Amino acid sequence: MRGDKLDNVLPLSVVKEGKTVRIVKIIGGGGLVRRLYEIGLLPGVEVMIVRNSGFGPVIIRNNVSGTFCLGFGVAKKIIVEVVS
Amino acid sequence: MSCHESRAGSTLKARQKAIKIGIIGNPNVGKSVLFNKLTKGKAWVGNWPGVTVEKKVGKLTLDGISFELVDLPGIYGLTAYSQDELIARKFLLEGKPEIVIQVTNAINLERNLYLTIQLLEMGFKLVIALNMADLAEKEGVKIDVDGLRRELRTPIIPTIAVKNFGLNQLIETIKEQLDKPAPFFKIDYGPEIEEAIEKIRRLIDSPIRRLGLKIDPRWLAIRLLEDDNDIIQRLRDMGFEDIVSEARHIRDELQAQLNESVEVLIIEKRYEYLLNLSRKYVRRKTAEKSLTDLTDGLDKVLTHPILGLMVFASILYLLFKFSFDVASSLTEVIRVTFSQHIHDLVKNSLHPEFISSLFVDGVLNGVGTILIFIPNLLFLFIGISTLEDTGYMARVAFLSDRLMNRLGLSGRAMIPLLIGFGCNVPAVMSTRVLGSDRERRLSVFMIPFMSCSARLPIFLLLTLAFFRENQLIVILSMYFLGVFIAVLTALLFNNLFYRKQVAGYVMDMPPYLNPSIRNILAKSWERIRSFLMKAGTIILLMSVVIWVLSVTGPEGYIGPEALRDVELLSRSWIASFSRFLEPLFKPLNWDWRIIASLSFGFIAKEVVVSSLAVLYNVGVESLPTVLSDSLTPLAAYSLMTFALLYTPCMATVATMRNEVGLRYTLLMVLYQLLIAYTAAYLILSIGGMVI
Repeated sequence: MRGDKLDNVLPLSVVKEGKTVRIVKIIGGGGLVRRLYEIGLLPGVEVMIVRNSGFGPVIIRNNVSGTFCLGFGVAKKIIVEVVS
Repeated sequence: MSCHESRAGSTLKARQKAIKIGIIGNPNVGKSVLFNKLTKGKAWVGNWPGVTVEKKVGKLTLDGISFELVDLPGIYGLTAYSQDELIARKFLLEGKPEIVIQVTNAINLERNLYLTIQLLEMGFKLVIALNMADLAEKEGVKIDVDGLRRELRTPIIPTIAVKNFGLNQLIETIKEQLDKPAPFFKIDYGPEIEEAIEKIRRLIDSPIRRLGLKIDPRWLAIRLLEDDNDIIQRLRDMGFEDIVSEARHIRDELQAQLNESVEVLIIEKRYEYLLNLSRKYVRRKTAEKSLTDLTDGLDKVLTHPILGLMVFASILYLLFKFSFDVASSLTEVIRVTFSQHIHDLVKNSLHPEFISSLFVDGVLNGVGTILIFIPNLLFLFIGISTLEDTGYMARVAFLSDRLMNRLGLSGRAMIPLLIGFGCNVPAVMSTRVLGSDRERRLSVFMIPFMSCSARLPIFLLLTLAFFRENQLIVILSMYFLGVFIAVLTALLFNNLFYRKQVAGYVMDMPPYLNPSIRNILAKSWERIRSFLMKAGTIILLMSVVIWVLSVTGPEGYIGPEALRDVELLSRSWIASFSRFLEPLFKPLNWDWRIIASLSFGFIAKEVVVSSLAVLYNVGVESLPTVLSDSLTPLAAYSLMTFALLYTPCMATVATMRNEVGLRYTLLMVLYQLLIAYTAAYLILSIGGMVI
């Protein structure tokens, strides 16, 4: 991971509603990573957090992927940096 | 050309084998609508009513050429991550479609293009239906269709399937494509990966050619680099173990050289290509009044942790209220028409008595039972289809996620469970959309306890006889008891087998759409038709079987009088079989006629009421009076509990076997019998002490 930016880097599951983030890394293996990539969620891509109550699933959106609901477990594995 | 000639020509063409076309696409792109429009509803459904989980086949004849259209499950890619993807890919590999129509959603075209790329890499002749073209325009999405068409060398037809727009052009394009070769399509994966692809391609090229397989060797090579288990297994089965291990060796070397996961790099390259396409051919400007705004506004309330749940509870209540209240007057009309008018008419016009009894007591009773169901089912299906088509079901999954997580499931498992209230069979089948085997099994175990509409007549009948004042509360208590047992079952099995794992999932949230009434009606009708065909025939058959088993016995033919004379009836096969079981049900104090009806209920719960009617030899309408003479209210409640919890119909068991295998199905059948028996016994004994 890019060490100099470590402060900004956090799991998607803790990002507040309305923020836009850039995906830095997806932790985990095989199936999950493949699935996320397939729908266009891969490092470098920006997404907006539409809904996140902080303890359940997260709804995200961008132009390429449309709107998706990610389970809490999945959201924890997506490492992002906040853009705005 | 003379008239005669052209007819001869077309029959000749029609005799040729139908040309196979696969319809594929992401979930929620309007694939099923397009399929229904193209086949004009003339499809035979390979699956039960519910979400498209198995392939549907329909026919389309054009200028004497017949096409066979296959509707495949909605998928994002072809990696074979979920059951749906496996089904779709199996068809692509083994079904050998001549042309593949990919239905895409113009609003998020890029995400759809990922599947497009994979299909083109497989070497298919593709026709892209750019669906929801109108919505995309409203959203401010502008697509340079010509540019994209040139770049992909694939025809792209803008369509609005719900409004029939573009369908003729789509059909014309399909015809034109028949004689054309598949386009050449290749993504440059960069020097290192390309070198590895080429190495593997050379390995498999000649064996594939020798076997005469129509699979693109370059595609196979890419799949092997992506470590595709399904493909590896297929090659192994064909005896290519050495190629598989050689390919693995090449892959490991490449991985070491690049120091990164090869499959991830390959997908990244595809996206790079795709985003490049998008930059060139897709323009987005902020729309003044966009669909996303409406969706966001609604979602503020509907996905709100508290408000959302309140709305959900209200909608659920309305759904059941709507389907049962609206239906009840219709049900009454059918009941009266059947039990009086038609009954009498047939009875008086058929001779001899043997034939007349077969029709009236066997066939007509059966048909009546089926018809009485239709209004309830129809309105329930209309309700469920509406919720599906508006996009609300995805919000239900979102809302229920936290709750379902406690049971080790994801929110998506809520949808099969809800469908279970309508009918367990489509519910079990719709678990296929769930990601893991664990999650699928757990939900399949829960579904049978969701009180399906077939159990409702039993509750209605018994509450009418015993709890006339509190009918609604008693029936609701059954539903809650079912849910309660389902929850306990999930907790038990999750702890026992899976140590409380939680599912990770990714789910599409479609924008809210105004559902088309025609589409909803068509969908509901299809589900009803399916019910009539599958359950209806079983019910009819069983009603006749019961009749035969009642008028014959170990001593031979007894005659239709047996149905009116309990003395005679007790000499029938039915009586001997049930008496044989009687000691087992002694603790529950059941009459042999109840045992007989419940055993028939294993075949289909729908027949419990009708067989009770036959066995007590009264019409369904006077059963309550007869039953209230022979049971206590407590015994009736205990009977209802048993009917709720014991093994669902044979159709459900058969579906379960397909979905989770024989072992789990048998386990489940035994588990349910045990639970049902215990619960019925506890209610009877504890209730007896209290009262």
